[in-house]
Amino acid sequence: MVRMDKLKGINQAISNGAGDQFVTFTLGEEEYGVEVLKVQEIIGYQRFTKVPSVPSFVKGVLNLRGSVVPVLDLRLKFNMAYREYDNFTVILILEVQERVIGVIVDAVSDVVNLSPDDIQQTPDFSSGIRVDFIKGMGRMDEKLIIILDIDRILSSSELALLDVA
Amino acid sequence: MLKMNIRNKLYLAFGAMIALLVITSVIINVTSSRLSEANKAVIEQGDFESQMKTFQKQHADWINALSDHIFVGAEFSKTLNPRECGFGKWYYSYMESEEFKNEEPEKARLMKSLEEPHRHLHEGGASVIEEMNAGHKANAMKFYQENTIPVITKLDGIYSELVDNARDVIEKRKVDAATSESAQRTLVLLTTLFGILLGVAIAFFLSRNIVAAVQQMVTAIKNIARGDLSKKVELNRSDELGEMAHELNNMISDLSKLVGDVVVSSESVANAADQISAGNQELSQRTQEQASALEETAATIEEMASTIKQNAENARNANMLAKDASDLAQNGGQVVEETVASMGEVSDASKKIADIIDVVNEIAFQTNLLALNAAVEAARAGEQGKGFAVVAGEVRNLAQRSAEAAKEIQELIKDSVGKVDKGNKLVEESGKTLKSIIDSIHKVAETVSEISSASQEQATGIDQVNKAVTMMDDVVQQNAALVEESAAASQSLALEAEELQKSMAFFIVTNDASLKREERTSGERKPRLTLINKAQQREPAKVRAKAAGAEDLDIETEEEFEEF
Repeated sequence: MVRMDKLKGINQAISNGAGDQFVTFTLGEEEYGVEVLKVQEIIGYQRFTKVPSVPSFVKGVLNLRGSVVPVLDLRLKFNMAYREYDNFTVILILEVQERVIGVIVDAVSDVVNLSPDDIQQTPDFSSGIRVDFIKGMGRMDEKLIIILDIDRILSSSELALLDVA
Repeated sequence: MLKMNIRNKLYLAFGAMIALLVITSVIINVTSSRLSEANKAVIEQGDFESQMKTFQKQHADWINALSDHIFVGAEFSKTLNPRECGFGKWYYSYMESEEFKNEEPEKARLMKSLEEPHRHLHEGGASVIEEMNAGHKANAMKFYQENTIPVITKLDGIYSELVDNARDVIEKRKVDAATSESAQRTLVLLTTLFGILLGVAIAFFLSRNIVAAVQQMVTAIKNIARGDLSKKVELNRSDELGEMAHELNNMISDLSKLVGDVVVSSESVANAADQISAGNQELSQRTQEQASALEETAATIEEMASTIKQNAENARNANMLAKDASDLAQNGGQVVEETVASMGEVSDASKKIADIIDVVNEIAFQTNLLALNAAVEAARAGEQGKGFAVVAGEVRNLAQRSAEAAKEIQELIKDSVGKVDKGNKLVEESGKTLKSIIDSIHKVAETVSEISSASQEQATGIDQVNKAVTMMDDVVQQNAALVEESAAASQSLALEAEELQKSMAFFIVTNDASLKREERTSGERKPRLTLINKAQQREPAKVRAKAAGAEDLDIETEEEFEEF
C-alpha cells in the first residue's frame, strides 16, 4: 500500500510539472522539503576539510569534482543537537543565490509532488520569532512537511562568509 | 569399815592377825633372851668369883714371900709394882675397858675401892724392902705389922665383899628371870586368846559382809541366766562387789536394750520377708511377661532379617540403575557439548550474514542515492525526463525494498543471534545440570553401596541379636528358677523371723525398758502380732501361689523353648 501511494505521488509530480516537486529529508523527527530545482546533487557523506575560525555550523569545505564547496550542518544551523555522522548521513548539494553549498542532513526520504493546494501558509507566530525561511507547510497523507525557502536560510553576511570560506 | 573395799578389809584382818603373832613372838623372844642373859650372868659370876679367889691367893703368896724375906731372910722375888702383878695386869686393863663402865654401881664402887689398898700394899712392900736393904729390920717389921697387914686385910675384905655382891646379883637375876617367865606365859596365853577371838570376829564379819552380797549377785546372775532382765541388783556398796553389782546392772540394762532392739529388728525382718514374698510374686509375673516379649522380639527379628535381605537386593538393583543413569547422563553431556559447538557455528554464520547484510544495505543506500539524483535530474529535465523519472522511482523503490528486506533480515538475524545466545546459555545450564546430575548419580551410587554394606552389617547384627535373644531366653529361664529359689528362701526367712521372735520372748525385760517399749510398741506390738498372724495365714496361700507360679513358669518356659 505504501508503495502504491509513493508511486502515485511520483506520478503526480510527473504530471504536475517540476515546479511543484520537492526533495524531502529528515532532521530528527521532522521531515523537511526543498524545491527539487534547488537541488544540484545528493551525495553520501564524504570526508571534508575543516576550516578555522568560522561559525560552528560551518563544518568545512568539500572537494566536489574539482570545485570547492562549503559544507554546513543544518542541525547546528537550526540550533538542534549535534548528531554523529555515519555511512547513511547525506549531503545535499544546493544552489543558493548562485552559490553551491553542501548541507548535511540526517537522511533523504523522497522526491514528492505537492500541489499548491497541499501547501498552506506558515502560521503566524509572535513577531520575535524568525520564520521567514519557511515557505509553508506541505501536507502529505497524514504528515506535514516543512517546506524551506533555502535562499533565506542564510543571511547575506553568512553567505559572504561562505564565499570567503 | 563398810566403806573399805574387800582387798583392804582382807589386808586389815590378816594384818591384825599378823600383828598379834608378831607381838607374841616378840614377847617370847624378849623373855627367853632375859633368861639366857640371867644364865649367862650366873656363869660369868662364877668365873668372876674364882678369879677373885685366885687374885686373893696370889696376894696371900706375895705377903708370905715378904714375911719370909723379913723374918727368914729369904730372897723376895715378887714384883713391887702394883701394875705388874697378876691382879694388877688384869685390873688396870679392866678399869679402862667398856665392861667396867657398864658394871652395876655397887660392883663398880667396890672395884674402885680395890685400887688404893692394892697400890699401898705394893708400895708398902717397896718400903719394907728398902728398910731391909738399909738393915733396919725392926723398922721393916714394924712397917710390916703396922701397914702391910691392915692393907692386905682390907683388900681381902673387899674381895669378899665383891664375891658376895656377885652372888647377890645372881640371886636377884634368877628371881627376875623366874618372874618374867611366868609373866610371859600369861601374856602369851592372853595374846593367843585375843588372837582367837579376833580371828573368829573377823571371819564372822567378813563372811557376813561378803558372802551375803555374793549370794545376792548369784541370785541376779541366775535371773539373767533364766532370761529375766526385769530385776536389778540392789547393792549399794563402794567395794568391788558394789562395782560388780553396778556393772551387772549396766549389763542387764544393756542386754534388755539389746533384746528390745532385737525384737524390733525381728519385726522388721518379718515385714521384710513379707515384702520379699510379694516382690517375688511380682517378679514371677514379670518374668512371664519378659518371656512372651522375647517371643515377639524373635518373630520381629525374623521379619527384619527378611526385610534386610530384600533391602540388600534392592540396593544392588538401585546401584545398577544408578550406573545406567550415570552413563545416560554422560551421553547427554556429550550431546550438550556438540550442541554448544553447533550453536557457536550458527552464531558465526549469523555474524557473516550480518556482514553481508551490511554490504547489501550499503548497496541499497547507494542505489537510493543514485535513484534520488536521477529523480532530481529528471525533474530538472522537465517533460523529457519524465520517463527517466519513472525508472528512477522504480529503482529507488527497489532500493528501498531491498533496504527494508535487509533491515528485516538484519532484525531476524539479530533475533536469531539473541536466541542462539540464549540457547547457548540454556545449553550451558543444561550441561551444568547434567554434570550435577552425574555427580548426584555418583553420590546416589555411593549411598546405595553404603546401604548395601549397611544391609550386610545389619544382617550380621541381626544374627548377633538372634544369639543375644537366645541367651536372654536362657537368662529368663535361670531367672524363673532363681525366683522359685528366692520364694523358698523368703518363706524360710519368714519362719526364721518368727523363730527369732519366739526366742526373744524368752527374755523378760526390766520395767522401765518394757515401759519404753510399750510406749514405742503400743501401736506397733499388736500389728506385729497380727503381722505374724497374717504371715502364718498367708504362708500356705503363698506357698500355693509360689508353687502355681513356678509351675506356670515351667510350662511357659518349656513352651517358649519349643517355640524357639
